[in-house]
Amino acid sequence: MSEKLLEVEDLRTYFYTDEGVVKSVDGVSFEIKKGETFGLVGESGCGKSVTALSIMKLIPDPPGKIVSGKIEFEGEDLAKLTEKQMQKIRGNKISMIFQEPMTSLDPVFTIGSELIETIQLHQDLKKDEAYGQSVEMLKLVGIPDPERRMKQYPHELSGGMRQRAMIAMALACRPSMLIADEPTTALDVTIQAQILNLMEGLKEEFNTSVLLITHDLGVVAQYCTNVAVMYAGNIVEYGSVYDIFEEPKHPYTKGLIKSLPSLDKNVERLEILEGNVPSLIDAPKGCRFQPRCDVCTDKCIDSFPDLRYVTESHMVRCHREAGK
Amino acid sequence: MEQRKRKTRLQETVHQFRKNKTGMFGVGLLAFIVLLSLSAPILAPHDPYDASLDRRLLPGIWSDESPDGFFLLGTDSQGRDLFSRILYGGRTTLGIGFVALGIALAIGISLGLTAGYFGGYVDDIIMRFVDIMFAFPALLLALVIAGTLGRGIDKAMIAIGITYSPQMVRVVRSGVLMIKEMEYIESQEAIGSSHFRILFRHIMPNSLAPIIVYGTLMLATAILDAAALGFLGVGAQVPSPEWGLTLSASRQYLLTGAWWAATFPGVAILISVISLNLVGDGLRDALDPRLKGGAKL
Repeated sequence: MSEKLLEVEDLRTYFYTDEGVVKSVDGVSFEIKKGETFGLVGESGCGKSVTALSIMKLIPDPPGKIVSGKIEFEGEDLAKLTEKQMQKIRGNKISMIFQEPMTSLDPVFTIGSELIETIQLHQDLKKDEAYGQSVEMLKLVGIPDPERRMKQYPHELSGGMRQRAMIAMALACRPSMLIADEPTTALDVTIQAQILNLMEGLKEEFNTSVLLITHDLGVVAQYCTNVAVMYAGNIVEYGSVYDIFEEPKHPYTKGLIKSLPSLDKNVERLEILEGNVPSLIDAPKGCRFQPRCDVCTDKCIDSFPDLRYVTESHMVRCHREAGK
Repeated sequence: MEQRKRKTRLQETVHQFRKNKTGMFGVGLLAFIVLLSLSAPILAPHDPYDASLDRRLLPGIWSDESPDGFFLLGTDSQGRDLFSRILYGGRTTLGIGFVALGIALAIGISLGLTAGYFGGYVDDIIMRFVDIMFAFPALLLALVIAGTLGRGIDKAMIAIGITYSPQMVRVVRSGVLMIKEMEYIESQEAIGSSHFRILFRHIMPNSLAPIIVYGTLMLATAILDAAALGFLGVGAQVPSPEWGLTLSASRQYLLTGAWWAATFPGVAILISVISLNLVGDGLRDALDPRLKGGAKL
């Protein structure tokens, strides 16, 4: 079952602005296997969402552009497909759910008509068949009394309900991959767990792979198999959940994990990672984390480190680790 | 109880609108005028074109000198019954307004949607052209277009329609620019909807509210301009009973005592414009989500 579904290789997505070229995603590579949940972690502005939108080829152009890279999905390079071909893949084979369930549903349509339309967009079904399937989907995502909800407008549902409806729409065509861009950030903590468990359950049921984009390390630890940590447009550490949480190698990952509150340790204050993500317009030529790093050396200032293996499954982009 | 009656956006808007007294008054007034104009052949006591110099400028029923032939509002300089002419004239004047609005809407929506959605060069070209149109005063532009096309009601409709379309382009475009950044448009893209589908199924219905409000108010000024063109002689031609034309033909008698011949067509224009403005204001209030009482979150 460890067949690969998606392989992203050396993806570069740049935005051409008046101030200069913003290299939001600068050489990102990773692969997702069938049926796994892959975590993409990093702070705001590090390029997580741009990576996801690049896979969907939904980068607003202009100013954005996928400059180079391969996005191989089920043996097909998405980077080479036309807009028309992509429209057949979006929602059908790869679906995406967004951060804001409150505004991600069109206010002039009922939940039902949006669902039915989505299904009819990709499947050759009659309206009543699509209706039946929609009710079925709403039931699957745990919405009680689906027939009534079908007739309701988005503003009549709560945030959690709307996110469930979004998931129903995203999974309606049984896609082989679901991209979830911070799906629970806008929800209450109690609802977050429900939604994540729901996604986990549906993933098993449909054998869907999930690309989970988040800045919540707790979520990653619980649901993901493999993780990539992004910083300033690059992947700085890549490995299994075990590698990342038990043996973090990159000072950034270490800092992230240290800044998590823990039940075991009694600390007065949480550790803070000082500083901000550097500007992606004129990235320093050395290591991009170097200005915030407390263990950096001269080499870090001069040369950009490569992503290198430390164990068979674990890669890190740091001069200090590679030297060992 | 739980089974709350579901409301479409339309029903909700109607519900909101009904609470607005001045708006409802406007609707009543407008319906009254439209109904009168439509049923002119039944209601009109005389033939609006039947002229006779024997009964020139006779006063209406308010005067003792009013003749027996029942001329409610008196007669004009050609001895035609003013009331009948105003009834028939409504068909022309309101008709010009509606058709002109239709032309403005067709041009405005298609260009506005294109400019707003596709942006870039397309947007620049369309909007610069619109800016140029804006540099001319509206009535002057209509006058020039009507003058170029020639005289006549149909030409007046086209002239006013073209003159008003730049405003509509701007209104539509601004709506599209706002709606296309909404997350539900992004999620529609992520679900594989085509540009065409997103534009017409999702962006257009969502940006309809300002178009409706603006369209109603625009209709009021279009009627005013239709009358103005008639008054200036490039719109409707004699012997049409069009309000502006009737007004202009009778204005010289204002000071000679026959005030009614020019006043009543003017009052007709006034009432229609007021009623449309009331409806437009009411619609704006009803469609503004911030003022919606029934919004449930």
